[in-house]
Amino acid sequence: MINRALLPAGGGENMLHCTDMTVLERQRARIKWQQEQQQQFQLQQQEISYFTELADVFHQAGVHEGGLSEVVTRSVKPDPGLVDNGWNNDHVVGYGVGLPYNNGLGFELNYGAISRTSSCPPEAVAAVAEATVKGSESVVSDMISSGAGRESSKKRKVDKIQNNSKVVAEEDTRDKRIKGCAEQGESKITEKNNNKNSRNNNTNKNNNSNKENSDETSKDNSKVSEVQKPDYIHVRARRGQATDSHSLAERVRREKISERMKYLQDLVPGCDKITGKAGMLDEIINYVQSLQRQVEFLSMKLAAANPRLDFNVDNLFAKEAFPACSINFPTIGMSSDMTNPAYLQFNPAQQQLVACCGLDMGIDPPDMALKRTTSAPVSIPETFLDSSCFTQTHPPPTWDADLQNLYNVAFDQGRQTSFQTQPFTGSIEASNLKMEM
Amino acid sequence: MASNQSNCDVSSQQEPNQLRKKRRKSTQTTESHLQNDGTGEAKNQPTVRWRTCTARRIYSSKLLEALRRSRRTTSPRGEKTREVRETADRVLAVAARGKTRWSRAILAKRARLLRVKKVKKPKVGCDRMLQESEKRKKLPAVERKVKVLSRLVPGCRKVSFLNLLEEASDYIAALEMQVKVMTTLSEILAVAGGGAGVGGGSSS
Repeated sequence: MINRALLPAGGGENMLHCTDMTVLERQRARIKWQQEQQQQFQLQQQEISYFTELADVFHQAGVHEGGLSEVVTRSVKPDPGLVDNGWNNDHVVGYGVGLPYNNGLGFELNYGAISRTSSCPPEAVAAVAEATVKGSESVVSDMISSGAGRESSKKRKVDKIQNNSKVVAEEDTRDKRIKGCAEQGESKITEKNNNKNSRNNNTNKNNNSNKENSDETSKDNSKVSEVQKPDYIHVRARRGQATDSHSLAERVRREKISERMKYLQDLVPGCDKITGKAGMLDEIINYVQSLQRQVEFLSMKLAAANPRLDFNVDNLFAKEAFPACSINFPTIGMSSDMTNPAYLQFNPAQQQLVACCGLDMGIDPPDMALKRTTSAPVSIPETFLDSSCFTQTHPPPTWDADLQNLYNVAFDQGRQTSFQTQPFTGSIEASNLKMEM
Repeated sequence: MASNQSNCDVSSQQEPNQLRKKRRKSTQTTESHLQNDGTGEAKNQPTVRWRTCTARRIYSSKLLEALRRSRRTTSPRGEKTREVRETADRVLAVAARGKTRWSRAILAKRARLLRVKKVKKPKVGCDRMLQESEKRKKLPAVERKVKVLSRLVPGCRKVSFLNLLEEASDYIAALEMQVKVMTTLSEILAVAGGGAGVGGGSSS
């Protein structure tokens, strides 16, 4: 790995043996370890390695000399004009200027490395240079860690970099041009970091805030003298929204809850005017309880009607025909033509069904069939018409009304049709009697 | 399946106006949910799942089968209602295909009963709970209601609020379908039985 080749052994020892183990140095050690870990990374890794080299260089310089900032400014300042024209050459020149003041070995090697770089790293270098102008070497290490690391805390450090870059820009007008390029470099870096973050982070909220970062930074590049706080926090604070990751997660959760409550509002009838969780929950509870009561009541009815259940295979006709009939009956109700095949299928089936009933009851089937053919088209279609009408409306009063009323509603709907109701009434009363018993 | 659904729509057009409006509203909500949630989620929305004609047909046929089977096997004296209701609930849970918590809980209840006859021990910390509830009379109203709701929906006692709402919506849609089918079924059987009784009476 290039890093290790270029890191002077002496420098490394010096760093480790320094009595003041600053946070900086610990970070550097960690970074080295991370770099060792990530040798399988591709292109970006290579680019970032250039940053790390340079950063290590600056670290060294800072550790040894303490005058790094002076060095860098001296290297940058004399070439404002040149800076615009050609980066590579200027860098070479600039670092050439700085060389004599530092350990020759590492810088020479890096000198060569720098000349090899493409346009992007020099911008990053400028960013690094600019960041270190203020003497905040921790920023450099942040850059390193952001370039190399997988940690989520990196996100915060990226923001610090942006912060520092903004702070720097305000103070020196000459650095503005550099800053422009640096910001581009930084935005690229942040984008890269964001890509990495999005790859590495699991939580959505981090992605959201990172995307906001990159969006905000790209927007705010033009605004130079804008912010003291990191960008995304400022934008969110301006909008009056929460800025903490915890509150972001809470907001997501609240939105999910409100979405589900809205869905329930559609499901439960009569909830249009009710706002607020408590009222909605009340309505939902009432509705569920009423539905369960209805099921109980219907199961009672079915239990009473149980003897009819002992059908044979003929019952299958009824089962298959029943949904088709419940669908098609409104059409049948309109015209008396029995052209509907489903109905035709149903009628003999119903007769058979009734015939089975007759058998169970010990009644002569032919008589039963005869008797039913006249009334079957009348009463049974009516039943299905009622049920189909009933099943497709949700009359709100029924949910609160008595269970008897429920039955009467269906019955009333039957009355509205112009069919004979006599046999139907009789059957209802008969089953009512059975229920009461 | 497609023809059944188209039949559903045809019938909706020929119903009276109010019914048509209701049907349109439900299809609109269905469509909006379909659009919102993407193609993968479309079939999983409770409105879509439980309101199709096929779902009703499947449920009704399975219910009939189950009721006939239960009729043949057992006939407890005073507990017909409960048995029918439990059969209906179980068939409903089966129709849910195990995607929801309440359906799995309903099926698990039965399986547990069959395997082991549990002897319910009295709650040990009961007195302590009573004292605490006396001290803390007003739990937040929403939380109390959440607890009540969680008791109503089977298998959802220790579920988060978010999931509870989801389960509740699916459960409500399923219950609605269950009520519709059982109503229709009971009316067929009642009419058939009543007609037979009347016919038999008049013939003799």
